[in-house]
Amino acid sequence: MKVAWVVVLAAVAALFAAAPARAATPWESAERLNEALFSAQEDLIAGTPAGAARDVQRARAAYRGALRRGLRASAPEQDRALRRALASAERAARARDGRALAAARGSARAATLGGAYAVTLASAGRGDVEAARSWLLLRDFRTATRFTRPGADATAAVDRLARGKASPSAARLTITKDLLDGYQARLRELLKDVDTTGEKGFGTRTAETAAQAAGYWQILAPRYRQDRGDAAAGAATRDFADLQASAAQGDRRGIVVARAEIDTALDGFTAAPFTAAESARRAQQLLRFVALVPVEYGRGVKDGRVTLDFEIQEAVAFQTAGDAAFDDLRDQLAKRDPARTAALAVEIDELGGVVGEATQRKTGVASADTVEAQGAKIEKGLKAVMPAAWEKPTDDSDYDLIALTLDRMEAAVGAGQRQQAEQARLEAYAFFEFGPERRLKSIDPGLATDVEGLIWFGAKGHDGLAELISKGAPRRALRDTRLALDEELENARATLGDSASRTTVVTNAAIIVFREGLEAVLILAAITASFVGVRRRLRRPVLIGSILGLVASLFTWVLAQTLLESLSQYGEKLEAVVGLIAIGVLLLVTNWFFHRVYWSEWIGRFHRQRRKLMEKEQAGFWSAQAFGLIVLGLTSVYREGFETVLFLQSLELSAGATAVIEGAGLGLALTLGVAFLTFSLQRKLPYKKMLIVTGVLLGIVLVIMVGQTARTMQGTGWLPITPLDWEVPASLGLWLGVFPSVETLAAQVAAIVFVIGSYALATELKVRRPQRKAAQRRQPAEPQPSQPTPEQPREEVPAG
Amino acid sequence: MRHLPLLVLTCAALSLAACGDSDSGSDGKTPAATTAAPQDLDAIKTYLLDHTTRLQADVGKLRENAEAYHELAASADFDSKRLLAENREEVAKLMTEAKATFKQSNPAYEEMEGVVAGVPELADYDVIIDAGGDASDPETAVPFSIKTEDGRTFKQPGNLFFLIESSLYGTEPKFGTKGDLDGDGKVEFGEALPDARFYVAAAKEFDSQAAELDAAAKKWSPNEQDALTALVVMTPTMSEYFEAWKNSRFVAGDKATEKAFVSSSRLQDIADILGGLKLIYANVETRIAEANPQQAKQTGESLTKLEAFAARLRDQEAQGKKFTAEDADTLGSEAQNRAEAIAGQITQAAKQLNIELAS
Repeated sequence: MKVAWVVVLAAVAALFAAAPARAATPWESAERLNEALFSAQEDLIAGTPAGAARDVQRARAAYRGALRRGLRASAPEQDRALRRALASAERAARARDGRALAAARGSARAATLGGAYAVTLASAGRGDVEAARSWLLLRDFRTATRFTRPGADATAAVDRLARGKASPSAARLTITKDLLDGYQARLRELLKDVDTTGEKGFGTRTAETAAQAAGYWQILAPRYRQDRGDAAAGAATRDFADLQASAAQGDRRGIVVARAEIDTALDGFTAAPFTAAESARRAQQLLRFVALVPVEYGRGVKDGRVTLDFEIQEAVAFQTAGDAAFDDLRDQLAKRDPARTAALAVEIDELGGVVGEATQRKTGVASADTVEAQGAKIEKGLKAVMPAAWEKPTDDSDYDLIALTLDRMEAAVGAGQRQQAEQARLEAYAFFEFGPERRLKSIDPGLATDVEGLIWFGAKGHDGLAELISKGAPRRALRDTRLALDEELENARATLGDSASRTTVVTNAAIIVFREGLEAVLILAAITASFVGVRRRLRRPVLIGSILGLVASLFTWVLAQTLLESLSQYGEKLEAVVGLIAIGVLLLVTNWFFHRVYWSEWIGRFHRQRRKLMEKEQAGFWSAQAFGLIVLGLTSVYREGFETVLFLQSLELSAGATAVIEGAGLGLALTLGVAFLTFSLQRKLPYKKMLIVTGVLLGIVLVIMVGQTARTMQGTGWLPITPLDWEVPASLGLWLGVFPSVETLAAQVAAIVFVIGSYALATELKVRRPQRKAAQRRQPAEPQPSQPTPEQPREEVPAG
Repeated sequence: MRHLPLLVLTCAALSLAACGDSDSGSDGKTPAATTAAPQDLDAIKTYLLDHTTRLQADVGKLRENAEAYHELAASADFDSKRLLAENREEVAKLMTEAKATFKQSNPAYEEMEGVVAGVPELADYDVIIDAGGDASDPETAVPFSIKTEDGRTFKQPGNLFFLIESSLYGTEPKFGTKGDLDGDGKVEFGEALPDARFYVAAAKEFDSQAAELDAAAKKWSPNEQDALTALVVMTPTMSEYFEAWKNSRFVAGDKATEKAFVSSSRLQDIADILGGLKLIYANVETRIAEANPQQAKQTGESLTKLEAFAARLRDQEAQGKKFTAEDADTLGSEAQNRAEAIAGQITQAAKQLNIELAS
């Protein structure tokens, strides 16, 4: 019995001893290890070497459990590297060698993270979500900058794997890209640290960063080998080893030589492979950054003097971003044309040098023309070497550019540079209008209107950016609108990202054609309404002009298939010009309408000489009058036709030609049907009523056209923008051309005054004045005192 | 019956064995998500408003001090030599009081800087009060200028803390002159006579901005996006703060190139800022733990350790330890690495919670 008790007690005791405390997770063990080694460094700095030795022992003790098992199983090389580093740390602590201890810590850190990288991928690859999630916590991140944030794709991939939304291989690929991107970014930073600490003579830090860089290289080396081959990878590995050894010995010359070799080896290497879509996006960013450098520089420099520091800073920011984008694509470009790619690298560097000089001194800097020429040369070279697919703007690149430009706008507001802010706002709008907006208007016009409103005069309960900048609002006041705008742009991206069904595309194309066609029909109906009886022949030139307008629209469609890029950059200006022509002709016609109609009516009635008048009218087909009517017909139809082509083109880009043509045909048929009804109705309505109706319609169409064209001219910068603090629903702008700005409303008021004035003038000149004169002529002469005056019969004056 | 105790012990042993954790390679299992109560972020706002109130009170005192000094300077026709000659004691007293108030106002702001600078809606005030540069760097320049009563305009001269501190300590010749305040025949570091007109204008501007910040803080509604953005934005700025510390008098002594951070060490600011960030994190930690408990734990521990690290250095420095530039560089880099890791972790958490970080 006693023996049984002893056995039981012993078993219980053994169980207690064996019962594990909660085991440390890999990240916890790694954290303890890293902290212990840093603590050892601090001890050496503080002059307590005994503490350093103890801390290294703590670090050794931390390397156990899940961390050690994981590395041993999936990353044996990293396990060995880590154990070597710990041994080296121990020796360094005993020898009170701060530099060696720092180097050991750098190596240990890199080995831990490199091992975690391997285990994470292995876990994801076999679908072990819990392991992947746990090991993913042990990683490094790229530093957040103005243009980038740490990635979270790997985390998202593990989540998708957990939910069954991604296969293990897909998740593994995404995790690989995210982690490699982060480690390459950190490697660049570590190499920069090697340089700066070396220059300052901080040998300890140089040794640590060099060792860590060499360890990070091991993570990237397999990708490098894949891209550039074994020989190149082997050479780069030797360069890193040389760097590490030189830094450990404090050999400054050796460090410099190794660094130069490493820079050459890494030039153009991108560890995280881009997908085709990512490459295209990055290429678009590169082209746009390069295009913007001379634009910003040109605004900040005059006659070799820096006039606006802010613009120079922007130019530098774009050049730096362009440089980074070029680096990301360089390998791919070099495979297509190594010589040209190398030349481009030199040219981009030179551009950076030139622009950078303007930040160092105020005078004697390169002229705007020089920078423009350099920029154009680089752009040309890039387009020559890029695949054609990369030159096509993608929506993503458009949104990137919009966001970047809005950031510049905010920065300018923050710096008190209102003019620059407004310029940036207009640029952002242009990127939106000639980028995603065309398609968005086809698919979700309400959303497009909201985005426009937020950029201009307000929408969704927020003040518009144009208004805020004009009022001199501080940056924080713009923030709300910017946040709302970002949300709407994200909605737009999501909307356009979904492919539309065929029915939707056909319907949308039909609506576009019908909407634009209806406007043209309205104008033509208003103009031709009074062309009845003897003036019926005046319809012909208008019809001819309309047909020419249709032909021009079709021609534009054909051109747009090949030249959309060229057209779109002038799109708004072209829109404004065509709008101005249409308004000019419409103003002339309105004036003519009132004068001619009333003149013919009233003079005809007074003198019954309508035939003589018609003879005078028969001045030949190619009279100025006929020419004006042709132009009116053409511009009325082409103005709508041009817009329709742009909308349909962008719809075609996402949905294909067949569905769009089908929809356009349907819309055209509906438009022609309405036109037939309208012109038939014209003939049936009483003449006088038709005069009044068409006169009013003409006036309304003119006022709408004037409002919309003025707004377009604000967008091109041809008219200033003075916002009014009025809440105007966006739909009023969309349908009636009413926008809350002084210029657009003033133009519309001027148009109304013109129309009413035209009518009043016509009535005064052609009706009232003749009436007064006639009345004066009918007044009896003053009688002579001696002679009685015989009564004269009164002339009948017709009623006015 | 006599075997009952044996039976009980055996059962207890078996139970103990069943409770032991398995030492597997995938420690850090994510337990089933629990439904936590919605995060109450009002604590962040309360913290913020406590500090804006404190700042307003301190800056109000600075303004009064500046006005009193201005009155004295006016009585001496703004002649600094005459001012010292006629009112040395009073001037010295005012300067001592101002410096003490300034020292007090600094943590009042720094402790909330994490919120102010990190929240997009309020970030402008950080530029104006603490982080903005002068017109030579348009991208970071403050948006205001100082106009004095005699018609001078100091265009975008720098942030308000810098203006007051450099005026009081004479580290910026544009804002004043040095003077023998204690009358010992020597002009030592910190003995300075601010340009009275500039000083009072700057103090009034500071007072006005502090009031505006308070109003904006009252209007602000904290949300998770703001909280996470503040953490991501603010934590990695450690390297700038350590760089400023390295270049300040506390490390570089008379060779200091940094004109600010003379009254108290930048390490104090760093510790204060991190304290504020810790509070923010504490208010979102539960939410992050819903998505990934290990992630939440990792970040919480990292922030706590980073704050402790900064506080330890501050205390060592306060006890007289002198750090060399290389030490400061090593320590700063360590802090920066830790901070960037935290920012990266928060970015992951935001992704998992589907929260878009503000740009």
